[in-house]
Amino acid sequence: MENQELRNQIKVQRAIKSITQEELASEIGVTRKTINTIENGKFVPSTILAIRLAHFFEIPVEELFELIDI
Amino acid sequence: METTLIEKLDASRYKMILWFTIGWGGWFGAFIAKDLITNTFTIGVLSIFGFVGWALWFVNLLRLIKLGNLIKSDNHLKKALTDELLIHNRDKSIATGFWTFLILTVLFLGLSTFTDISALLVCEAMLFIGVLSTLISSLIYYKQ
Repeated sequence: MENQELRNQIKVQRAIKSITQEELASEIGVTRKTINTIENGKFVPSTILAIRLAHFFEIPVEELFELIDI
Repeated sequence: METTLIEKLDASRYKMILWFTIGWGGWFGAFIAKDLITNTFTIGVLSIFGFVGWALWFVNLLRLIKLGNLIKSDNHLKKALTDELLIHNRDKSIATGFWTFLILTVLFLGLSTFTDISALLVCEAMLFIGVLSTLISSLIYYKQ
């Protein structure tokens, strides 16, 4: 429970949609740096941003973000 | 087109804060150093150094205000350039400044038990280091 990590599928979903981090950032209304830090697991987004990302990729939030026991 | 503008403005803002920080360091650093030095030549050099620092600080302050107004005028730009990562990093920078300020207060308080310190010098040093630590940490957090 204590050692958990939030992993995401943003890179995979971007590849499916063939869009760059910059294009995704523009669609979501954040900077490219924000997308980059979320994608690399350096920054944990708010629930609102996570839902916005999931809506954009048309998948459930729990499919885009997954809590993994490490 | 819009995307490029967001990234361009984000990069410009970083550069403006960088020069603003250098300007503040040069200007206020020289201002404090002048109070501690008696050599006329060194004071002259510090005055020039301080003026250049002030000019850098002032020009970049105006540029930051202009950028702020531009961002405010466009809702999409405002949303993107004040996103949650920026707010998160800004909060961390303010916390860094606060702890630096607090540690400095304790250090000066401790020092005052051994020697007399000018109240003016303490205020100037705390202002200088408090602001500088906030600015430097914001630049570091941005690059992380």
